[in-house]
Amino acid sequence: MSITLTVDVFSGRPNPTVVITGPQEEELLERLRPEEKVHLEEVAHLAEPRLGYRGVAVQIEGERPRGVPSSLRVVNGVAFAGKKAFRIADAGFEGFVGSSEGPLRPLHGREQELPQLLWDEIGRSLELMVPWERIRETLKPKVEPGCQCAPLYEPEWWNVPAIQPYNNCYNYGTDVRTNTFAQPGKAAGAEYTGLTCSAVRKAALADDLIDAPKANNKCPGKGHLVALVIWPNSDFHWYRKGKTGYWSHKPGSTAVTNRDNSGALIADPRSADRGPYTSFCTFMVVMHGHVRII
Amino acid sequence: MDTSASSEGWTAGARLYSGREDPTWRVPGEQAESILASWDQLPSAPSPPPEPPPLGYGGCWLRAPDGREWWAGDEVMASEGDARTDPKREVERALLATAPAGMLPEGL
Repeated sequence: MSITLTVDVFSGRPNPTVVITGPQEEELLERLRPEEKVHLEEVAHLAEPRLGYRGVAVQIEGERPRGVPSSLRVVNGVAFAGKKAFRIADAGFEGFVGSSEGPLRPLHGREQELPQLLWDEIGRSLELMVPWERIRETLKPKVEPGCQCAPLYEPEWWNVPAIQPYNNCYNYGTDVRTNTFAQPGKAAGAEYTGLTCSAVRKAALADDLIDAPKANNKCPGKGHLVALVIWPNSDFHWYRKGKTGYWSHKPGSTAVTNRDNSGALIADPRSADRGPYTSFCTFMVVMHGHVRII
Repeated sequence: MDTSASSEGWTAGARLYSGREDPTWRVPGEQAESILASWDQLPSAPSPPPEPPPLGYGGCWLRAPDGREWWAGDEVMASEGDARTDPKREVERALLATAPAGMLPEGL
């Protein structure tokens, strides 16, 4: 049995390759043991071609433990093999391979700069890759049938001089253009009396938005989902969930956007970077044609 | 940028809110001239202020009676393609300080 490791890092010169035989094999196989299945689409970006470090290619000849394929590529702790991807037991496998104590040791004699170069390059590349938690957070949510009633994300319709400055987050959230910078409750003569979750929620109910505190980011059967957040005692803000399952918003008189304060797509406003709007209040439902706002 | 207070005199405002209208206020001419004198002393900046994040404080502005405008944010203050570095945000803070007491949240 043998294991061939190739650090895929160079473009012009040959990549560093080493063939491992003997006692080291078992240790490597233990590090490569499948730990958790992951969906290929969730990690596909890790395997995209790029300049610089692209992963460690592993070829295994002979007997293998169950679940370990004969040919795989490890990138950021995730092993890719054909159309499958899984997290390996040793998340630090690549760092180990590139280190001065790692399996590439036989090459270090003739290329003394190699361990440092690989260590730096692998470290740099992994830092650039979006952390797994962030990926999970911004994954495209499954579009549920209910979202088919949600409004399209069409920023170009709102982001024009005749509309953008005169319509706010409440206009955008409810998908009603009034050109009045609409205020919750105003149309019903029940405008909010404080900048708190309960006060703004109550005012929105007066405009015929429907309370949906248990919506849990799920699209309603009819209408579309909005979310109310509060900058305590300073302001309110609304997000709306679109047809694709992502959320978008219109911060005041500025342009409609589908990004949060960190520049990430918004899969769930509860976990989005909301700047000073630190209080997540509730989900509500907007029934098209039923709400009245000014 | 809100224009509600710009019919006469110097006006200023801050990009701040989403649901409520952004605050705007009048600035006495003397204070405005003093702020612009400080602005004149600032070194050139290589680029205009970057786009602020969508929510929360996103800079402030000053508008002259003749329509000229200055925009301050993220350590840069710019007017009509002339950007200056304001590394300690001194000019920006001086402009914010012209707002009536209690109009702006603390800590800007």
